[in-house]
Amino acid sequence: MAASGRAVRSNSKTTGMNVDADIWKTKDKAPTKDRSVRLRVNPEQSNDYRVVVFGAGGVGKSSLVLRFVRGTFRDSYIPTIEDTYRQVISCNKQVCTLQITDTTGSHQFPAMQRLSISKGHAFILVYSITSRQSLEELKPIFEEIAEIKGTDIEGIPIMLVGNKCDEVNREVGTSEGAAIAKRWNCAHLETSAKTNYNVKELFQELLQLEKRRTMSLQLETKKTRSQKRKEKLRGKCSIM
Amino acid sequence: MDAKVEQILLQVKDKLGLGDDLLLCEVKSTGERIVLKENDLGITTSIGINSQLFVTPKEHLDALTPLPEQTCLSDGTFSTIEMFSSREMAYHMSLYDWELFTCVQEYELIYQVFGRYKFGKITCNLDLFLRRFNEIQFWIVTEMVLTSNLSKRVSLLRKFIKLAAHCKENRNLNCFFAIVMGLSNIAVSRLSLTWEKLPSKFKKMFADFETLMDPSRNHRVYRLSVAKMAPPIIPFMPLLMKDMTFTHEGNKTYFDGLVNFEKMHMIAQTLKTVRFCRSTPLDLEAPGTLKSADTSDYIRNIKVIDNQRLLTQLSHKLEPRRT
Repeated sequence: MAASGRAVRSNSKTTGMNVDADIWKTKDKAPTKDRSVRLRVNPEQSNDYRVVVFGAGGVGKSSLVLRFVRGTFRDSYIPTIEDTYRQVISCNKQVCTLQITDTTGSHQFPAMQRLSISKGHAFILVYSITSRQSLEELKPIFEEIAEIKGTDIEGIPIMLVGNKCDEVNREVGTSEGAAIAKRWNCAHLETSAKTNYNVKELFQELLQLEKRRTMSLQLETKKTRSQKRKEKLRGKCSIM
Repeated sequence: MDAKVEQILLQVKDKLGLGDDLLLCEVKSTGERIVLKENDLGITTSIGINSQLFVTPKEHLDALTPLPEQTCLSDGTFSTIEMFSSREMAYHMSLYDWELFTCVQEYELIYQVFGRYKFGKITCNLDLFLRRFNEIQFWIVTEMVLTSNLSKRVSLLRKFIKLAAHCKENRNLNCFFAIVMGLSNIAVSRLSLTWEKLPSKFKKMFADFETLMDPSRNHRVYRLSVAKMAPPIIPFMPLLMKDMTFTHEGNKTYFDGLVNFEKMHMIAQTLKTVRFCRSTPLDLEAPGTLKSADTSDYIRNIKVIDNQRLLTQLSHKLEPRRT
């Protein structure tokens, strides 16, 4: 009863109003729908490329990141400076910002971890070659990534990294790390933030694993025609 | 409460006669087992939401599985939530969170970050407050996936978004983030039929909330917006803890036998933030309805599923993947 009453009332209003309202509706709907799709499904539209670094406490995640970003090895840093972890790189021939999220201190809050995972484009999983435990602790994290990314995981660059390879009291062999990387279908590398061994290579390789776009640490401006065509094709594919 | 794990084990050994080689193990609702270290203390408050503690001989560790009450929660409380207004719920949640927050002693943050066992002190108040964040987040997801009727689910989603908005108004940012993170949990965010039916006004509201939660540039959006706020504030605790952990792990406490003053200064800065947030008492206008006691009671006794896999499964059951 009530519903029909309301319908009658709205009909009794001027038709002009109704049409207006309809236009508003459709206008309103289209962009919000668009936006929600962009926010939820395809965050890659933005010009940032987010790399998330995971690893147990003390494996040297932060040192690794800082070594890469600043080129130095330091014993001290300040956490809340916002631009600590940014680097300008080239992506599809354009300048883009590489954002590195360090997840230290969020293990207590699964929600924080999931947030970083869902917002991340690529992942670096760090363990220390001096601690088997630190490698074990990466397993649930990898599973979490696999669960959140679902079937998309194949296209997502993931690096398993054994840090502190300058140290002598090794607990995890190189082949062991490689075997796990193979099982997880990701790349493997051993690094040392202290001696600056393989640090740049780590990020370079990570970007090369990104097949949806062409990424590089160098800022390139010119490319051959065939490369351009390839990229165009790739660009089209990425919409899928 | 402040007993060390080894002390607990010693007591239990006499009573149960299970032999000498005993372990105290936390069993999560997911079935994950965490053996607690002998020198840890104050463990009763620091274990997971639906976790249980078990004492077991070393060789039987593999046989520990979660109890049925840890994993089973089959009914949501939609009909109860429906009765409360979102403003009322936000009010009581904020009162409760404020209670938890003000109970936290500043030193507890230091004990937690530097390691409880080093001080031999417990961090129960902080534990409870931090746990509350996870609890609310799981509560949101649990209620969403346990509401099988689509239109009811849409109205619940609306209610939660309104609840988040009220929490934000109350400057209860901890709770606000817990709700928003709950709603953006994969088990909820993948419910596209539900989101489609949400009025665009709410969609926009939620999109704005998500922006506030954006972790890029080290949560810049959040930090900027909080800097403009006046106390009382219930801050987003996970970020505060993260900052302190960063400061601690990234910096040595001593250099050549000298205290690293810069580090101490940084830690103090975070503690000052906490002090600032609660420098004036919470003064919220009571919504003044009859159901006040019920709401308060409900808010303080939330039941949740804290097993992400189970939540995702339930979500898939509600709205199967579209092919």
